[in-house]
Parts: sequence; C-alpha cells; structure tokens
Amino acid sequence: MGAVQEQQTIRSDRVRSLARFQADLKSLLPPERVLTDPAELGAYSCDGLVSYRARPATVVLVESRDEIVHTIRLANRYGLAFVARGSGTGLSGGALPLEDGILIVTSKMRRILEVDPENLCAVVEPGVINSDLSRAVEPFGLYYAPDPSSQIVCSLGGNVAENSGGAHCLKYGFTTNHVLGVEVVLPNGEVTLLGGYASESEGLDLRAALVGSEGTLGIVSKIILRLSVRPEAVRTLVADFDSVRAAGDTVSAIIAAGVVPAALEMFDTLALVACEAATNAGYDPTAAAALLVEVDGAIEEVEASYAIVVELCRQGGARALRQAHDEHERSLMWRGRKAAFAAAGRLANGYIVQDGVVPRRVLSAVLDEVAELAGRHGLRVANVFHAGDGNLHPLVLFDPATPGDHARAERLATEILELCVEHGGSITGEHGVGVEKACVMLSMFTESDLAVMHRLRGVFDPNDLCNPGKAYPTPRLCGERPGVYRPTELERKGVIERW
Amino acid sequence: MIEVVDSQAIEELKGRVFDARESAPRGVAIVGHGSRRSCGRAVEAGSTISTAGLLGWSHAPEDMTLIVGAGESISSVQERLLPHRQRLSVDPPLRTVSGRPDLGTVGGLVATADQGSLRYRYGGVRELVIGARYVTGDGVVAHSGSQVIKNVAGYEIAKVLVGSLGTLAILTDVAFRLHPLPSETFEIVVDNLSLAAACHLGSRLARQSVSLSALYHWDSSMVGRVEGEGLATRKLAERVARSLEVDLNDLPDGDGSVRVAIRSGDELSQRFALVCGGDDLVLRVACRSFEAHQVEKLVEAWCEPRPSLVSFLGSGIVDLRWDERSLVDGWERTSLGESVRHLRSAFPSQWWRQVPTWARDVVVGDEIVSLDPNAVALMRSFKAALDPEFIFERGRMGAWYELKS
Ligand SMILES: Cc1cc2nc3c(=O)[nH]c(=O)nc-3n(C[C@H](O)[C@H](O)[C@H](O)COP(=O)(O)OP(=O)(O)OC[C@H]3O[C@@H](n4cnc5c(N)ncnc54)[C@H](O)[C@@H]3O)c2cc1C
Repeated sequence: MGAVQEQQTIRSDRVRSLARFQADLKSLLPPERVLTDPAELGAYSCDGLVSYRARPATVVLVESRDEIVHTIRLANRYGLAFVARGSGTGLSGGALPLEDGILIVTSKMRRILEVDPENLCAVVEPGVINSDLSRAVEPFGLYYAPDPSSQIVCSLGGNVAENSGGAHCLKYGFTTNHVLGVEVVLPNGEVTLLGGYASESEGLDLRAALVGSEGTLGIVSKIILRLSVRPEAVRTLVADFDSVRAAGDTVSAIIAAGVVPAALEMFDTLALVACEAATNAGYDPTAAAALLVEVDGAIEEVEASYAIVVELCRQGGARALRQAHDEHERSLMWRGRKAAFAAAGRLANGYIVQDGVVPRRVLSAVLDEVAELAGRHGLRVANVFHAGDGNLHPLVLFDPATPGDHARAERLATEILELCVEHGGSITGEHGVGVEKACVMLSMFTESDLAVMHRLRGVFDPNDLCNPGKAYPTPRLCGERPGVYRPTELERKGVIERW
Repeated sequence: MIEVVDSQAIEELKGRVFDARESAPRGVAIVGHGSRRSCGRAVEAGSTISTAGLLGWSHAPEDMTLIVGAGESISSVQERLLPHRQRLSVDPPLRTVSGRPDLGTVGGLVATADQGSLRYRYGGVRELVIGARYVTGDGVVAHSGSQVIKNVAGYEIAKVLVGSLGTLAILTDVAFRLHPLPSETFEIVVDNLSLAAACHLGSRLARQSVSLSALYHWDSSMVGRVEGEGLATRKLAERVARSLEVDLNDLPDGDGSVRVAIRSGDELSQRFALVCGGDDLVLRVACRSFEAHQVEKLVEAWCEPRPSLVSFLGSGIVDLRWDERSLVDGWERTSLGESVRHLRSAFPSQWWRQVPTWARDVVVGDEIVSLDPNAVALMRSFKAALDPEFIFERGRMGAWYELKS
C-alpha cells in the first residue's frame, strides 16, 4: 500500500471509530451533553492561550465521575485520545483539544460534596469554581487559600492540574500544599483515590505527581482540599522607589529579615504608568519602581511585621510610602495591581505575557538584563510580578503594524525564559508548560530528567491517550514560539484580569 | 538545579548501583547514618550503599533556599543555618545509633518523611522539598523540581520520593525551602486533658487566626507552640492561653489546667526526644485533622498490649507507640501483630490511612487493607519504572509492591 493510501485508510478507520464512539456515548449519556455539531464545537477550540486552536470532534459535558468513566472506557475501546477541560482559562494550551479528538469538560461537576469546618477540609467536584469554595466556607471564617487571579472563573480541577498559584501563595503555598486527596479516573477508565483526608497517606505519594500534571495522568473527579482560616488582621502598603534595583534589594531585605509577607508584588515605571492610567489607583507613574506589600495573620504578628516592612522600605530608599487605612484603600491598591495585564494595552497594540521564575537574590540583576535584551531588540518590556517568590511576568510590548516587530517580541520572550533558566530559575511559575513551553523544557531539564518523567507518564497512561503531546517536548511542537497576548472573552468583558 | 554533590561521587554511586545489579543476592540497602533503618519492614540486601559521601552545600540566604547533599546530617544543616537565623522547618525525632541519639541524614529524613511537631505549621517533609537529584535503580541520574520555591515545570517526582523509604531511587542532592528561625518560643500546655477534649479544643484554636507552629497531645497533655519575634510572640502566647482557659470552661467535664512556659531550643528537642524519639515500636496512622480520638477508640477496642499515643493535631497523624523492652517475647509480640492486623481492618478505608512509617516487622503485616487495588497497581508499576530490577531496599515497603512482584 502506498503512503497516501495508508494515510487514507488510517483516516477512514479513525472516522469510523469516532462515529461509533459518538453513537455509543449517546446511548450512555444524555445526547444533549455529547456535542458533535461543528457550530457548537467551535467554542471549545482553545483555552486561555488563544493563539493555538484546534476543533475537537466530540465535546462531552460530563456531570459525574461515572460519566467520565464511561467516556474514557469507550475512548479506550476505540483507541481515541482525549483531553480534559475545566473552565478553559489555562494560559499554556493544556486544554487545547486534539484536532478531531475528544474533549471531556468537567465544568458541570460543580457540587461541593462536603464541608468539614472542624477538620478544616472540604470535598469538591472538579468543576467547582475556586472562589465559590471560599464563598461557601466563609460562614465558618474559612477560605481556600490558593488564589489565582482567574479565581472567579477557573475550576479547582484545572487548579489541581496546573498546580496554580496566586499573589498570596508566597505565604500560604501553592495548590499542591492544599490538596489532601484526589480521586482520579485513570487513562484506562479505572478509578482510584490518591491521598485521603490526612496530610500523609499510605504507600507512595502519587498525589504529588498528579498535582501539576496538566491533565496528562488522568481526569480528576473529586478533590479533598485543606481549608484555611481567614486572617484577623491585614496591612497593605505601596512603596515607591527611584530605581528598580532599590526596590529589588528591598524585596530581599524584607525576606532576609524573617518576614514572610502575605503578598509582595513589584511594578516598574511602564507598568505603573499603565496601571494608573487604567484604574486611578493612586500609583505614582514617575517612580522607577513600586512595591505592594501585604502582611496578614494575628494582630500581634501583623503589627510587628508591618513595622519591620515600613522600616526596611525606608532604609531601602523608598521615596514615598502609602498605607491602606481601610478596606476601600486596600482594594484600590489591589485593583491597580490586578488591572496590570489588561492595562498594558495602553502601552502598545500588541504584547506577550511571559511567565518565568528567578531566585529572588538575582531579581534586580535579571531585570537589568531583561532591559538590556529589550534594548537590543529595540522593544519595551513592562514588568509587574510576584516579586516575593521571584515569579516574573514580563510584558513584551510590540507594534503589530511594524514588520518584524512581532517576531522580535517572540524572540525576546523566549530569551527572557532562557535567562531565567541561566540564573537557576524556572520556565514557568504558574501558567504551566502545555503546548506553549513544551520545547523550552529542554533548557531546564536534561534528557534523563525528561526520560524519568516519561516513565512516570507511562505508568499512568501506557497507551498515550490522555492529553498527548502536552507538557513534554515532541518533535511536532518544537520550534514553535510563545503566543501573543490576546485577551480571552472574559478578560475583554472585564470579568477577570490576568496578572 | 545547582548540583552540590561532586560528579566523582555521583559516578562512584552509579558504579555501586551497577555492581549491585550484577551481584547476587541483588538487593541493596541504602544507608545514611542508619538512624532510621527500622522504619518499615526488614530489608533483604546482599550489599549496602552508604550515602555518607554525598556531601555538598549551597545556601541562598536571600532566597531562603538550600541545596544540600543527601549524606549531610540534619544536625549540621541546622547548625550551619543558625548564623543566618534560618532553619529547615523539621524536628524529626532523635533515634539511637550505636547508643547515641541521632537526627539522621537529609536523605534519611526525606526517604522516611519523619517530620516531627513542626508539621502543624510547615506541613510534612514533602511541603519543604522543592527539588532533588537522584539515581534510579538502572543508574539514570535525573533531577526534578528546581531551587526556586515557585515552579510548575515537570512532574514533581522529588515529592513522590518523600516517604518512599529509599525504594525508588537514591537521593543525592535535595533542594529545600527554608524559614526564618524564630527568636522566641513559648509553649502553652494544658494538663489533664483527654485526647477527645484536646481534639475539640485544638480544632477551635486552629479556627482562630493565631498561627501556632506545633500542636500535639501526649500523655494527657496538649501542647501548643507559638514562635516568632519579640514581644508580639509573648502577647500571642498569652492570648492563646486565655482563649484555651475560656474554652476549657465550656467543656462538660473540663478538668484541664493551662500554663504557659518559655522554651529554649534545647529544652524543646529534649522533650520532643522524650515524646517521640527512642526505639519504641511505632505504627503511624492518619485520620482527619482533629479526629485522633477516633483512632484512640479503635486502639482501645483492638490493641492488646495497649500502645501510648502521640497525636499531632491538625495534621491527623497519630503515632501508636509500644515500648519494645516491655514486650515479652512470644505471645505478646504475636498478640501485638494480631491487634495491628485487627486495627488495620477496622480502619474505614476512605477515612483512615495507615502510614507505613516507623514500624518494625512485628507490626507491619503483608495485607494491604485500606488502599484500593488501582492505587497499589500504580505504585507497583512506578516502582518498576524507577527500579526495574527491584534492587533498592527489597522488602522494605512490604506488601506495597515487592512481595507480589
Ligand atoms: C486572566 C487570567 C488570569 C490568570 N491568573 C492566574 C494566576 O494568577 N495564577 C495561576 O496559576 N494561573 C492563572 N491563570 C491560568 C489559569 O486560570 C489556571 O491555570 C487555572 O488553574 C486553569 O483552570 P481551568 O479550570 O480554566 O482549567 P483549563 O484551562 O480548562 O485546563 C487547564 C489544564 O487542566 C487540565 N484539566 C482541567 N480539568 C481537569 C480535570 N478535572 N482533571 C484533570 N485535568 C484537568 C486540562 O487538561 C489542562 O491541561 C490565569 C488565566 C487567565 C485567563
């Protein structure tokens, strides 16, 4: 058989399998939750990384664990690969469907199954929205600590898959530190519980591998989460500096003094200009840099740490300090911060949001190097980021109308990541690898590192059916570059901000 | 990740792993100080690989991170961090090696996940490990994680190695997140308190916005620890004591009495050694955060001879301890084995977990009661993926994977 003919046979086999799969599934699930109409499928063709698109052949809107099991078992029977999707806000293409593949959407699994305030834990289905859980446990004085800025729309299943973080994770830890147990439908359709209600459990801690696995090891059907106690006191300030270096050094000084702030965010001038123009939050656009520092906890501790932070900002050369006197002023400060990514649109018509991590001690040096790199490319970069944990979010600005500008911006965004790795950091602090950074993995990990990760993947998914091609380099993907920032529908409507 | 153990030591280690694969019997024991050898079941080993030569140190004080060779001792890690007013937030119990108390090595700590009372605030060892380099059973040297505290690239294999009892790989370098070393430590002790009352009070305390660093119940006392800087810490300790006094009055048969004590580091480690150290037989079980009293009920129903309980409130970890010297050989040991077997099957599997940590042969049976077969199958095949010839620490995890392979 010739190569073309062979391709055609494979293709028609696939089409047949898909048709059988769809028919079988419609006999098991209410047919209105098995989408096959191209007009309906289009809405699922990308996640938050809108520059990558593919139209799935079938979208399954599951409502229970058993429906996930049915879908996966059928997919196995016909040898079809599948991808999980929560709310579709991921920024690295983790929930990008396979062209003509199956997309299993868990966003209808929104039940909070149990809240146990005495033992500070809750059991949820994967489609529960992050902030809905906090709202549900608020009457007990509790909340769910990991706070990605997409928290009012992203799902807890997605958070588990991405090991999501937020501005307050410096003190409170990332998703992985709050997941006690995960029930997962494995890629072969079997169900298991990894972890449980306690912080440690029997046998190997495979829950640790599952969190952050970007939907490649199975589909999460239930999550047991740790709840936290709302702090009784919060103090927030913004400090302006005459140089990025002075602000960066103050970040180190605060941490070195033994203070663990709840949040420690940094802006450079460009970011301040954009945020202030967008929100009138009271930021000073003439400052070279600003820090937003928040401390929380018991009143006694907060007062003591706050005094230290104020003193260190002064010693670090802060030219102005603005303290939030009430909740209104505090939320104004945060509003400015949260608007940052969207506000970058005021600086340029096009920009790429990068996500990399460096050790805190090299923060100032790396920001200098980023500026130098940008100068070399003739581009501007605005910086607004989680300074406390070294998680940079450089916004690489460019003009889509200028020929070559976009390509230069993409090169610069990639070089910034390489810089992070050179300084001993990471290619991603919270957005994940997905399709976007699969190739950059090789700059951070050796072939052997990846080979062992591949073995782990093989243990869960020997037939490579579960979100294939994501999170690890494949020849097909490598060579591709980071996508241009394009607001998602929700950002355009002002429902969520990216920061 | 910065590699702190030099490449020659790594090459030698790889050589030892290859030798072990060739020699008969094949099993190899991986030994640091040997302070945690009795954790898990006895190992069948034709040879031993010592991790004592896996030394190295890279501390970034401004980042509060440390990369350290797996052979470094925990005591020396803490000593070297002291001038920087930082610490690795673990307080593993002292175990005895050749008659001397020992905290063990970094590798031993990670492999056994033997966290002490600080797990209340800082979590188990897994929450502190941010990266690792390791050598697999087929001699592959690999890394996972990073030296920065925030990183979501790649599967977190470093965290899976925590508590794996050396059965998956030999750790060579470990990256940790550090914390500030507090200058003040107070303990609030409530004496004459039943475990059930401690769980009740502990849960109420945990739902106030005071950050204790430890909370445990032992021998009819509940101990809460407040750490921090300066006057604020004392004020906080006093507030905790006051609120406990109020809560005690609400208890139906509340006969507890509250006292606040200033503690030095030495005092703490001595006391903690008394509570958790030594060479008792320990079976570690886990339940919901504040339900240790339910474990106590099961123990009372099923265990003869009776163990003493150390309950780490908030994390749901309960250590059942039997003084080995007091166990008469013969029927008492057999009866202990029997009671543990009963205990295992009495555990509601969704709620209760048995941690195969720190239990001698006598208390670790071969049955796997509380885990479903799919989880066990995954664990077994992950073991086979990292150590294809089952050479590392054969038998140590008992029924978990080796016996049935
Ligand atoms: C405006 C904006 C701001 C953001 N801010 C942050 C931030 O501050 N911090 C941060 O960490 N992230 C942030 N993100 C990224 C994103 O919101 C998070 O990654 C989030 O966790 C994704 O959740 P989701 O439900 O949208 O998942 P999706 O995008 O639907 O999926 C993400 C990944 O999870 C997998 N997945 C989804 N559900 C399941 C399941 N049930 N079982 C197994 N795998 C599953 C998918 O296959 C995919 O790989 C932001 C995104 C946007 C658009």
